[in-house]
Amino acid sequence: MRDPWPDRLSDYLDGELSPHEESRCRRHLDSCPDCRRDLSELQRVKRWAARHKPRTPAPDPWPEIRRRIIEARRPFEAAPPVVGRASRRLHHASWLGAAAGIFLIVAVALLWRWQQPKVPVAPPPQARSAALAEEARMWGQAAAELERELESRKRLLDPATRADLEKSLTVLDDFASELRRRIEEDPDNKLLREFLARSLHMRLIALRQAGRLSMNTS
Amino acid sequence: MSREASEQLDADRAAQGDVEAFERLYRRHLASVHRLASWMLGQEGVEDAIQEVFVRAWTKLDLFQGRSSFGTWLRRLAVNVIVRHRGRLADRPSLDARKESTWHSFPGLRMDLEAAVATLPEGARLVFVLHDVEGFKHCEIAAALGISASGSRAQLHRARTLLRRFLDGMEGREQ
Repeated sequence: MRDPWPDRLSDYLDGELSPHEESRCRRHLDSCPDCRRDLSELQRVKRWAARHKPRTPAPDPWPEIRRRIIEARRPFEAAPPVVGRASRRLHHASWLGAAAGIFLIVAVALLWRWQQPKVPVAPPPQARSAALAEEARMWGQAAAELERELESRKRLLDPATRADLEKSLTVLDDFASELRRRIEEDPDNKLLREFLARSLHMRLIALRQAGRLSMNTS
Repeated sequence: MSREASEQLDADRAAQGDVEAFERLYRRHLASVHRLASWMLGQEGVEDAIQEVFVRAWTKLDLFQGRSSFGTWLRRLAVNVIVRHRGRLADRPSLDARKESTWHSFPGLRMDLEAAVATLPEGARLVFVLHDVEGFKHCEIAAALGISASGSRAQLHRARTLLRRFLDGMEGREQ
């Protein structure tokens, strides 16, 4: 039977043999000067290849690559409103921004009204305040979980969608921080708690939407 | 900032459309993509392949998730692009004709590694370049070239065995 080891010396050299095969090959090498010489030559070739340094081509292909990547970007930027995947992403991104915007306009208007001198009213029932606090906590927790999950998939989003998402989340976060600050001053204010719960809910919706988009893109 | 972190940052910026960030990535990796393309293709179509690799990288940047370094991601993408590019060039007779003639036509010429590798049979050459020069694993090579991992190992052994003869000849002439 033909000796198998001369054809497996590269596998031995690269550590590709099983432990059992490796020990058999080693035993063979101890007794076979031809294979020892072959192994040393194969080693030399491997070292030789590893020493080879890459070099830059001339002429530099960048100008043509630059032209092509700028070309490649144009159709996306100039896409019509509701055709194709890229447009759908833009549509979703606009939706996220618009929804957050409308919510904030309404909320700021109501806050402004709340800041005006007003007729004293009876304090809201404690139960309602507690329910709103619980709701806000729930939305906040769900959004935080979703955001952790989304973090690894954000890259899959279209850059424009990702930028819009980040912008919407920043606006909502700033608004939520402001609401929390005011709730500390006026813990029983139902309207403030309502807004906080809604802003956290809006954040959750934005994250869900982004999560769905990233799943569609992957 | 480490090179990896700065590449990650540039990849993020490029994914958002920053061409200058992409150019920095291009400059850092051009030489290795060039080496990969010239060894896998010979000289024909190298510049086209390099362009194709970087244009494809630009359009696929959204899919780079930072699980590996940018360089590793780019090299994998480059192998796939170059293999496809090779397929398109394969119909042209000049590739194989040039390859076969190199060694026999210039026996007295000093052989450097590229010239020696260019004389290898196609399968052995691709596996040798991807494994010994570029450091890919057999399973990755098998997936990129559409062969089995054991086939990849056999081709590598064949390539090294052929190259050691060239190396002997080259070192003999140098002495």
